[in-house]
Amino acid sequence: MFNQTRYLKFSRAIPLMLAGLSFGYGITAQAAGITWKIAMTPSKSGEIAWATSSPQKSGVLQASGSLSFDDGSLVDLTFTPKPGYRLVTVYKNLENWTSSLDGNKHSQFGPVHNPHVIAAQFELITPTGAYDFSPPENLPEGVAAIFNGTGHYSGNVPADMPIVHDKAFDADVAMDESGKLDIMPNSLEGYTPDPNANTSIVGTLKTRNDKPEVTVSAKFKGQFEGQNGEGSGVGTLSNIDTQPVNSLQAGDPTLDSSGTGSYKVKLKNSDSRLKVNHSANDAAISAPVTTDATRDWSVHVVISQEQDAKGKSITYAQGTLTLPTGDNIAFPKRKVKYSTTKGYKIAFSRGTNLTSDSVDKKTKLTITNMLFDCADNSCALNDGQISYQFLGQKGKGKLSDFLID
Amino acid sequence: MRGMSLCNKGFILALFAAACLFCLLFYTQKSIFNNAQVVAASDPDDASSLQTDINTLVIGYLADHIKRNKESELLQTNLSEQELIARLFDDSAPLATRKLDAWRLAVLGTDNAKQALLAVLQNGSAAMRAIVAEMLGHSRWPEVPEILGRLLLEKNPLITRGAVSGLALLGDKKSISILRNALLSGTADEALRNFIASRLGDMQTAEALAALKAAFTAPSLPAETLRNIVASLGKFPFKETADIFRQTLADPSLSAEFKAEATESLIKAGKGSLAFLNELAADHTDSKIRASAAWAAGAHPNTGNLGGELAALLQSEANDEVRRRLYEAMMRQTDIPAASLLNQALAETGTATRVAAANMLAMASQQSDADSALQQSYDERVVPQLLDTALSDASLNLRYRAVFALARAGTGTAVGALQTIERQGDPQIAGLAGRKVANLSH
Repeated sequence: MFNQTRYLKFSRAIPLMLAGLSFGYGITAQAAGITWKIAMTPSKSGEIAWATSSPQKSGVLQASGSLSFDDGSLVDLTFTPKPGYRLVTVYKNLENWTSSLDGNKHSQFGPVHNPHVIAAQFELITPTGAYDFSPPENLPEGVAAIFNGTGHYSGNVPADMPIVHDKAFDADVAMDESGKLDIMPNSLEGYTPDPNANTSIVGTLKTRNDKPEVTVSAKFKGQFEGQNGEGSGVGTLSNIDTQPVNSLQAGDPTLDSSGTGSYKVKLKNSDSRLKVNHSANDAAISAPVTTDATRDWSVHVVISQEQDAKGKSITYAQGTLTLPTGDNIAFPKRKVKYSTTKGYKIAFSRGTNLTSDSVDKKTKLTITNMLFDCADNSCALNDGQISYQFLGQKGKGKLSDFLID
Repeated sequence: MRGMSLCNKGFILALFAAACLFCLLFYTQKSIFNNAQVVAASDPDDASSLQTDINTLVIGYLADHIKRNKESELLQTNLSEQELIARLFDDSAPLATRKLDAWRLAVLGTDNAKQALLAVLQNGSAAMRAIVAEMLGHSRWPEVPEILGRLLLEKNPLITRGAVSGLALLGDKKSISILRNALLSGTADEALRNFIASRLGDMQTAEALAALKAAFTAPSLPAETLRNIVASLGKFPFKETADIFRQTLADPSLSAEFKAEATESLIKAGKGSLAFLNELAADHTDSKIRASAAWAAGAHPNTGNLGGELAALLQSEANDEVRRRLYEAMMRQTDIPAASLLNQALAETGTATRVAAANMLAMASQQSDADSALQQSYDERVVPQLLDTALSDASLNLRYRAVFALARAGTGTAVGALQTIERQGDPQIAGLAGRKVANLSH
């Protein structure tokens, strides 16, 4: 699943390091005993378990150090990388000893009569591969959905709203890349709009407190059940919840939504010219609505390594985001760096909308602390966070909740 | 209603009847459970006539009356207090039923009811604790604010949100003080502070406004909390918050994203904010803010007579995105100077801007003084472009808006284009065009 590339630059340095160590420490063997120098690079990237037969002792080196033992002793060394690292080479003096290790990365030396330098080289495993992320069907608490509001909506006014309760409505909604809405009603049972009046409804969809929030501003003029009137108003439906069973998904035509509404309206009776202002807060609203709008989105992330002109391995990440609108946003590859403590941080922005062939400045997706559990030749995604911002909405969550197997 | 008794009885009856008509027309009422208040309030920025004020008073009275009637109906139940309490404790009963019972017990206000609610608050499931916390906001027991205040220290966000909602429903000075302290507390959970910031905006009291203002100037607030605070400040009359918004929009250290949020929140700030939005749309140095201000000016409920001002901005604005928003704002005016904007609209090259301009021209063609030249130009030059866009692989939003423009124009040529789209478009666009054709044929 992952490709690891060795950091060859360290290999070139090994003979020099060994020569230096041999010069510095090779003369430390005493007539009464032998001393080996054990070198480990990078520092604290692994551990070396050791055991000597004479004297019978054992221990674990966490960093470079030395071993002293009796002449003729057997010396057992086992090289174990720290999590996120792997063993690359083991040198005995200038001799590559790696192939002499057994399956447990262990070798027994001896009977030993001479001082040696043992050098172990580990390397950080750079996880690479392709990953797909998408919001889970049932969103965990605190994870916001991103809706594509564009679509056809129909239903009945909720039963707990007097006067217009149970009236059938039908409307089409266009939502742009900023969440701005143009709402074009087709019908509200009992209402006949004035064809010569400038009546229009606009709005915006945002994320507030990890929930969708719709604000709608409407101007209306016409006849409702025989009465002529006109008015304007602005209202907000906050904390919108969708029911888990019928949550909005592609192909699922029903949105069972509920939320908290507030509004201010100005009304005028066209016949009597009487005017009135009215406002309300905290109105609980529950409305099953039939719609073909969607909330599905996904991102395909590819992490890869390439050699630069100097042969240095560079890690890149690139991504393709498929929005709930169906638009594809391509984020070109960018350099990333892996850390065993902080993982990857991958920030995607200013991608190209492949649908409209334009730069998308409003879509951002960031993956942070993308950590892996790595052992030798395989890595598994362990942890991380994802934050996303598009279509005027935003959210964040645990990367593992979004990972598609 | 004491003031109304001083009025002529006939006048009152006439007003009452008129108000009833308006109720029949447009009045929507909240349901019982999350009611904080139904406020009949004239916009403080409006120079309302006495008649409007009286009508508003009547509507307010009616709203309150209807609310009380509905509450009375909901309080009527065949169950005794003990039976209500038993059902409140019954985990097998539907949550909605138990929520209603919690509200009933909170409103009843007896000692037994209090003990039962506090027992659930102490030992119930997280969902029930959250419900009871919120429903306690309908009670009048003096110790409730402190009880709910202690719940703000809970780890479960469901419960803390319930407590915030309960305090918001209480709405008294002590409750607001508790919310204010939590909002300003650097140790409080960020999500909780965000929620408090939102709920204070719904409360519409002087104390809530003072709390929001204090929080806005507090140091080191999380960005999301600050965003919610500015959105809540936008719900208050602009004259109360003008200084804050002027400073915010002029502050070079704040992000364009935050300023755009502040700008767009002003559509709820009453008539007084409209001039400021126009000012921003014209003069702000950041095109993102000009675009937001243009959109907000068009979305403002008091918009409608800005045709001349918006036309001047359109003719001088170099940024494509801002012009797009200006066209959208112009679409909602009753005085669209289409003749003077026609050539500019036809010359737009960006698809989104061109479609916005097409919708603006379509709305202009509905005006009573629309001339035939406009209609002819629309049919000859705009309709073919809209047809192409609707049948292209452009974003669904743009294809929808192209169809909207054709439907709004409603000319024979436009209807012909809609029929073509109905035949040739993908299922979603074809369905949309079909609905518009059906609507126009009625």
